[in-house]
Amino acid sequence: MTPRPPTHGADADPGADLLTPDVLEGLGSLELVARTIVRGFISGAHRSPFLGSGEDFSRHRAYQQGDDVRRLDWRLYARTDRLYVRLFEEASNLQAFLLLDTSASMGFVGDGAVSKLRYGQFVAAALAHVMLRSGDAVGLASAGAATGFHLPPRNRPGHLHDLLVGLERLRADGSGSSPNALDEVGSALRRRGRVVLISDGLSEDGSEPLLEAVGRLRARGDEVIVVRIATRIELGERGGAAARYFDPERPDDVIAAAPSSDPGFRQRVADYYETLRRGLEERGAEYVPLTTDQPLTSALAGWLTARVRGERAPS
Amino acid sequence: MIAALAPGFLAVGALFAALPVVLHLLSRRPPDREALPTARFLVEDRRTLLRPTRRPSDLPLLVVRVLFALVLGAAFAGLTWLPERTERVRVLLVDVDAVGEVGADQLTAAVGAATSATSEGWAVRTVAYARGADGSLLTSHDPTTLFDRIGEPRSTAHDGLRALRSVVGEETRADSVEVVWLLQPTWRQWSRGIGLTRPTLWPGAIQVRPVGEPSTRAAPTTTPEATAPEATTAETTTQETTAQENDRIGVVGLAVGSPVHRALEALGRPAGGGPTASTVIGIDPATDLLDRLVSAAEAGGTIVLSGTLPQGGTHAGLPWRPGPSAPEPTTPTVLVHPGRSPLSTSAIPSPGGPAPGAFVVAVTEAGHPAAAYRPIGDGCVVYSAIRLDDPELSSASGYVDYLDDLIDVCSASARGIDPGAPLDPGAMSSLARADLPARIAAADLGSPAGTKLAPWLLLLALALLGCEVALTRRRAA
Repeated sequence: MTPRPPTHGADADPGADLLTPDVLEGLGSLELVARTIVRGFISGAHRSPFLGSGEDFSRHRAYQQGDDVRRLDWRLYARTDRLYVRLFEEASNLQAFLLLDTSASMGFVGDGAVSKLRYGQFVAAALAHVMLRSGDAVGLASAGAATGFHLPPRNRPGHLHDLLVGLERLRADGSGSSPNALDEVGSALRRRGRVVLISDGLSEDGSEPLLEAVGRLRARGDEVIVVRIATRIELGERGGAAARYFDPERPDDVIAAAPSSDPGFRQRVADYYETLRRGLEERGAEYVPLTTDQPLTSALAGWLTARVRGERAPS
Repeated sequence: MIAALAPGFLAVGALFAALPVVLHLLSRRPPDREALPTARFLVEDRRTLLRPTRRPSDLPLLVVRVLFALVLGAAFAGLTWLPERTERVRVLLVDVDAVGEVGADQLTAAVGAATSATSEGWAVRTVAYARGADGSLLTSHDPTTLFDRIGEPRSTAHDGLRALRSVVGEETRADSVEVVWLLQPTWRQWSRGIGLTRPTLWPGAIQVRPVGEPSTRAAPTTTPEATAPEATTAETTTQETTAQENDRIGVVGLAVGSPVHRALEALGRPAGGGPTASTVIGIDPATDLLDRLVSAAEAGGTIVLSGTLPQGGTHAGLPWRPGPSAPEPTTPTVLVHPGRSPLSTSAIPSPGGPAPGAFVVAVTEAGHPAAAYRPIGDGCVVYSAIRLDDPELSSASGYVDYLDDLIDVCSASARGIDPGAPLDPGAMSSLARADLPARIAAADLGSPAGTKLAPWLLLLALALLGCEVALTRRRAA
């Protein structure tokens, strides 16, 4: 186990908010984007925000539903009458999969500077960089018309470059099925690991199949993080003009509507994602909602900082 | 300043420009298709399909179409950019043909004197004219350049007025124009019909200044009584002269501006300033003869006035009272005294028949009707079936010939007038026309001499049309 420097928190660089998606897009290669993002919220050598069940005890955290009961610190419970779980430094050989949703809806740009897929690529690149720095083996898969396994989980010199190249090749197309992809990725993990699903969380069948798939992963002990990416227009936070709208994954189903004059639209979308959030938290998965107009560095920093401190990300 | 030859086209262009705006506002295209991954959470609103949609992408096309209509309307309106006119100009109209009578020195001196007499603040433009050897009208700003080019026949008053108008019409700086006419006023310069066409050729008064004594002065047909000075009134003048054999010609009722007055002007015998009439023969409107004449004319008949008219009439002039409605057109014919052939006027546009306002030219000589106050031999009676002061008629090509024929037929002895004799005061006043404004606006003469914008506007309209086609194709693509 590599000794880790003391944790000072992972507060974002004050200039991190300047790294808006359009600025990052202007940087060109994902490698440069990833380094820029990571440099923004990890100043110097920090402790890994990805804590797991390795050998070295890290700290205690309040028990939450879904936590493995085997990690409960019964002695502490006897003293304090409260449930705490023991957190350990993640073992360097933890396997993680970055599963990126590449369905057609991820190609939506909306009012943002980049598409949801591009934003997801930024997120994946940054997380790959951080996880590899933490000693994790990171693989890459995509959930499009079919599940694509691009790179198996590895941690070796040059693997980050391979991951970034694989990310660059992803294109949004077709109707994806994240639940199936989660099952397949879970099967590909040889042991318990971490699955980071980067998706808009939208599915033809609603959120239930996704939650069930997450539940299956959690049942076998895998850590699941769902990074939801959406645009303000999709969320109904910015009005869309009257038009004939269609889901990119179902272009034949057209509906004439005016989101800007439909106050219920925003609430219905919010209800959907609230249901998703609750379902994920009930299953012990982590839910990270992002919108494509957020500066990536500060958005990730807030989440990762909370993660280092043992808190859940705000939903 | 911009002037428009046909301002109505500006309004037409504006109307057409409003057309695409109205169509744009009324167009109801279905809204565009938009992708939205969360479309499943939308509730369909059918009113969206019926709502007129503003299409910002069409605004450039709309602007181009509006501009095209406006520019095309402006092009057809004949817009002309006119330079600002501020100059006051005194035009010296010089009849170079007078050199043959008074000599070059005297003419040059007259020009110099007129130039030096010009008021301060007025610019001087000299317009010299003469007939060239080939009979064409020559004009120049320097009279001396025409001295060696004078030919035959000599120029007439018509020539002078045409030269004046053409030169002043091209003047772009002049605002107010007054004219001094330097000529030798003899019957040689007289143009038949000038009395009527004079206001048309030049709508202002002209100061007529003889450049010298004529070389030959002859008035063989006038008697001392005829040339005696006479006080005239503005309203009514009476002229009388004698015939070659001391016959007197009485012109009755020459009220200034009356039809008879103008008819005489047309014949080159303007009223006013003539000798005192020794015999006044008039027509009493109350007589039975007059009534019958009027009734016959109103019935469409051709009137031949001959014989002795009633004596002791008033000075009210030869009455011609138009009927309540114009009779049916008849063949326009001028009939003269029995024994002469009818004079056809078919070449002249005429309403035919005794149209309302038709003039009676009835000048009597020793109790016999005549056509002019000059001796005319046995005289005649003329009924003209056409309006002598008809503005269209005065510009007709056959009008002057008509007047010539009228005089030739009715006044055989008038041919004996010496062309070198000075114009009588009536003819002089007909040229000067003191009753017209002394100064006129040069901009009102002829077509504006500014820069015509129509060709450029048409080019701009073509360019806009190209833009419209390009934008339409791009939208269709």
